[in-house]
Amino acid sequence: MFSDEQIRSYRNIKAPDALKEKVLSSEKRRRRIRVMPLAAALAACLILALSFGSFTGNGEDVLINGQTPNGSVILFQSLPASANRAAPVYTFEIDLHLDSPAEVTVSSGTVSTKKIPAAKSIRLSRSATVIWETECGEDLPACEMEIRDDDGITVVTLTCKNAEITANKRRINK
Amino acid sequence: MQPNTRFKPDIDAAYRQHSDMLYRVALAQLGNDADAQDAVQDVFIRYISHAPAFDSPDHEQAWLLRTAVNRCHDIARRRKIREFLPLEDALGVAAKETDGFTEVASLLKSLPDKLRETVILHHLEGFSLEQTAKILGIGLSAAKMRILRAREILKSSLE
Repeated sequence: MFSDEQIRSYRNIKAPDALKEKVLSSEKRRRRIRVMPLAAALAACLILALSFGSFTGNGEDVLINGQTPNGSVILFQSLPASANRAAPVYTFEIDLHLDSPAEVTVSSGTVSTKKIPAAKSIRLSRSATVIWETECGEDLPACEMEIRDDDGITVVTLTCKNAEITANKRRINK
Repeated sequence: MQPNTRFKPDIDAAYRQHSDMLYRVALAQLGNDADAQDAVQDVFIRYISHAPAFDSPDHEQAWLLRTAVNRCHDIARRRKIREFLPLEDALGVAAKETDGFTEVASLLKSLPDKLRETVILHHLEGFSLEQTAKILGIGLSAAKMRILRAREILKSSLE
């Protein structure tokens, strides 16, 4: 299919030096973001503690980066913007507490777990932490995650405004 | 029997060992340097965040390649860009060093994504069909069919 010279030319291609710097700076930024300010950490814990009372056993409980999606501003991690990204890419850890198997589908980006590779839609047989990576920006439509189980659908919506991301959740029972 | 030698991800070692290959694969799949760099950067971000403990260096390599292929799909879907820029413009490499790849890129451009990625791994990176199938998460017969189909398309485009 290809000549030896073509294959040799291909294999001589090296990753640009600038790429290593980008990768290493992304790792450093991620480490910094993980160290939350104490006040923010306490606030997140408070929200988490108060939110236990609001779980009504509708089929799944949802926490986004440790926070309940009730219109609150979500703390997030982001991949740096580049010349080719229309908007920064954000990473959210979503804790899903499921009573039955569910299909998780996202309108934008991909969703994955430790064992399931990234895709637009994945199937969960039990509670899990999913990682949702998506672009989110004021010029972009709100991002939605649908969690479809035997009893209905839970929709989590992320909206970006004024450089903040808020999350809301609604439930549609069958 | 060999003892279980699972090892934790080490980004510096992984970057040193695999970045060139991942960049080549992304460049061949996406056709431009900027998208390829984004794809590789995303792969290593994911490596830091979500990589499992690997059973072997081959396991790590396969994981990185599969992640790269998936990221290329995402980027291509988002951008819907199929422009292949002159490689020397993208990389600043002397033209004679890149003539071979420019021809390769031209051929790859005519293939659908799934056939292209199979051809890249098998014919350009040199993985066996079994290894290619494993990396892509497909059966061996599916990999063979993709290669056959790619050959038909390339043959008809050259005629």
